[in-house]
Amino acid sequence: MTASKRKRIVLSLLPLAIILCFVYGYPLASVCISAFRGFGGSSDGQFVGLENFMTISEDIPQTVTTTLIWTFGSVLPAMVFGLVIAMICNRSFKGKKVVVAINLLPYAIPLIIVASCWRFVYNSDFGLINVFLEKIGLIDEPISFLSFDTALIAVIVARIWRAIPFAFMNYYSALTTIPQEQYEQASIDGAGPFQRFRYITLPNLRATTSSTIIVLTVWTFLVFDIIFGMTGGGPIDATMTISMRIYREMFSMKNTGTASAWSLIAIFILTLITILYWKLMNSKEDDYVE
Amino acid sequence: MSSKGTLPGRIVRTVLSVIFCLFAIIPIYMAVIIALTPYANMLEAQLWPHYHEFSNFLDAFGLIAHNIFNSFLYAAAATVLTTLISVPAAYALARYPFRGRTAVSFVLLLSQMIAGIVILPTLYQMFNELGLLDSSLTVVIVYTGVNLALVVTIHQGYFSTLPQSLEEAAALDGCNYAQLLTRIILPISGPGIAVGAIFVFVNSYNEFVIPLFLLSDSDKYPLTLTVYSLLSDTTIRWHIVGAASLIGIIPPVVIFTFFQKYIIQGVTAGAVKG
Repeated sequence: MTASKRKRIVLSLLPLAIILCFVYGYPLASVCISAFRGFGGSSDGQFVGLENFMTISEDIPQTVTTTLIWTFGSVLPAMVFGLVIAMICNRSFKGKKVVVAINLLPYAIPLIIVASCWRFVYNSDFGLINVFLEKIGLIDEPISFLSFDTALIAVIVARIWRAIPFAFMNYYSALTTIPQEQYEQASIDGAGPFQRFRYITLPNLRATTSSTIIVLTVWTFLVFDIIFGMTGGGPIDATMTISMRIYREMFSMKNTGTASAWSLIAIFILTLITILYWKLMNSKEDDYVE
Repeated sequence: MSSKGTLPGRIVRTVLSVIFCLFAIIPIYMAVIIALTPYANMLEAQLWPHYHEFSNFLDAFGLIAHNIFNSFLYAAAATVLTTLISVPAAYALARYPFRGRTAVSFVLLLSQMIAGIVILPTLYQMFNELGLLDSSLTVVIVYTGVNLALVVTIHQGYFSTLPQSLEEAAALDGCNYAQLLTRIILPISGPGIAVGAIFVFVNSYNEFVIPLFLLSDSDKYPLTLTVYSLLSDTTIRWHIVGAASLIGIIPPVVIFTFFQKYIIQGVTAGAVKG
């Protein structure tokens, strides 16, 4: 490679590198240091070892569990529902364009407005679910969906609503790439719809399924706006995920140290998932020869 | 597969599509009911809009017009900045097999996986020490940073489909690198750049947690922060929240409906964001 070409590459990548160092590099390095430093009090600015982690250790099991329930509880249903809609839309019918557009709609909506709209739906005075259940006589007293027992399920439903379009889009494009001849051949061989789904559709969707599921998992894991706008982590920590902890430590406790400790825990879990994703992608397509 | 299928199959598909469409539309429909109700009648049970208080929209718009302007401003600035930085970088990544390219791609992927909330505490600390909190420019730079990886991926995918011969022809004509990018590559890269721009714009318009950490002056709030502060009032003016939410979703919904094809392309090309 010539020197001028090398210079050209470096110059092309330089602005990108500067912004990424500024927005990701420094803060990430700083998280790694802050997690082991004291903030406020007598140990302000000093290296405190694992003290920040000890401070939050009581909350770790519950918070990580809540985060995992939140993540998998919303990702898996969203994947299944997304696949069902994609399969419905994979053939032509009257009004298909409308069905596609409506089912993509939630993807466009800012997460904080997703939160506000779902708070309307769950409201115990005018919320549509309560109004409907009362009208058909199923309940006498309104259910408060955002109370301790049901708050986690309530926010998960809102997340499923927002995640379905993503799964739908990925499956929708993937389904169009399955060769029709495979289905025709199977029909000739006498395969019914369920066998065709099991032996042709599912195997052909394997790559899409694994990449979509990992992307959705990584993103859902740290979703902040929906929970923050609907419950703020409450009531009594019922919806307290890691991202809510980070915010609370930072602004209620004014402790960058413990906030960073939570960030490190999140990064650790996410890195595991990312490495898995990377391996998966690289085994799928052969890397170009350099 | 036949396009019509059996009768039971058709019934099942119709029922399912109605259920999913209802599920997708209900929260928005609910916002419409709330937005059309006078505040005094808010506690009334309504399955369909009983009132038509359109003045709620005017009241809400008066409250949030300034914030919608801010949202547009931040999103537009971030879109321009991201595109300017991404085009040369993505071109180099798509065209030159240099040592360390895989490492760059891995860093980009990693940055897409790290959500803002993880780095925001220390980012806040950093901007605090630099005295750059509460600044529109800071918000735009962070928006740019969090969207770059996504846009570079989209651009890179697009550039790698362009024929190599273009570049050879440009070299023969004595074009330098900057001329090659601006005179030859850019004019034919409209679709790729459009897909990237749509994603940065909508992501930035919808962004909430970054301004939540970095802005405290309510004059600088984007729409999302204002909707939240309306939601966290001690007495929530539901009709205003409803109307503000509906007005607020118009820009991204219009963009998504209009560019649906590009969006699906972008998402499946690896435009990560569930």
